[in-house]
Amino acid sequence: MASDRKTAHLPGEEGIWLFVIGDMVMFTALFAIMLHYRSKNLEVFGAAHRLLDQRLGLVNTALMLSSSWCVATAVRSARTGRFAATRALLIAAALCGILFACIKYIEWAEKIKVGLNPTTNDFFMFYFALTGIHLVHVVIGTVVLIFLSKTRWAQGARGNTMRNLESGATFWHLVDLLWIVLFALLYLVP
Amino acid sequence: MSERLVLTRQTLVWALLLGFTIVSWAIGHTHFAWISSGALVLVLAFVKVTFVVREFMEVRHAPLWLKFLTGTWIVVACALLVILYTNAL
Repeated sequence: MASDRKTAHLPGEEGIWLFVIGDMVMFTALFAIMLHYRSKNLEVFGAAHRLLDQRLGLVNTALMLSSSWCVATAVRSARTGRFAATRALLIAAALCGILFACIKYIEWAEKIKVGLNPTTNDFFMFYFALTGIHLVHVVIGTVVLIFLSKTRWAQGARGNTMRNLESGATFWHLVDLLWIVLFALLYLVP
Repeated sequence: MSERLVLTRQTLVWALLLGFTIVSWAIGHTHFAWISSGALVLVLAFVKVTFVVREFMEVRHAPLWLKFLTGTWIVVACALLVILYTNAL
């Protein structure tokens, strides 16, 4: 059981962690630049923020958190040899990713339909850019999850097979945590 | 078998994260005299991030250098964003 482990364990490849830390730093810089622009246009940002549909943001947050749970539980089930459960949980997580992307498409389409696009103002420039970069992560992550669900566990939960699953899981959790901050910054802060 | 997969620490964390999300949403619609609700929402977002990093990404079992790097990022990013947000108020 993962929580009983006494010795340190690096989940996945070192390289994935290098990417994760680099991505976290890059997104932090983008968030900081957005807040800098906000400080110069408080009224524009305040009015534009109120045009976002918080309900869709909440549903997408629930999807992201649930998919992360599925992926964390998939890793746990693989470690205990329950590979059918691993496969089902990875497919469930990928479905959450697909639903997330569909809702994001609906949200963008609604905005564009009423004339709100990246050129409308600085807020919407950041809204489309940040959610767009994040959506690219969601699409890549979903493809990785589908790929991982097809893993043949002939050798059991050992070596590269397990390490690949852990690396993919780590990337998916990164997608989740970036959304948590994005959701707070774009949808929730008044 | 299903109990051991479903009734786990990760499930508790998932429920907590959903709860924090609802609380954050409520705080975003509330005005406090003593603190900026936006700053509170940002801090709560990084509390959620800490749970994801430690529990879902399994950093609580990871080598010290990874605990240090991720912990440093959480503290620095949270402080930076809260300062930039509150300075503009």
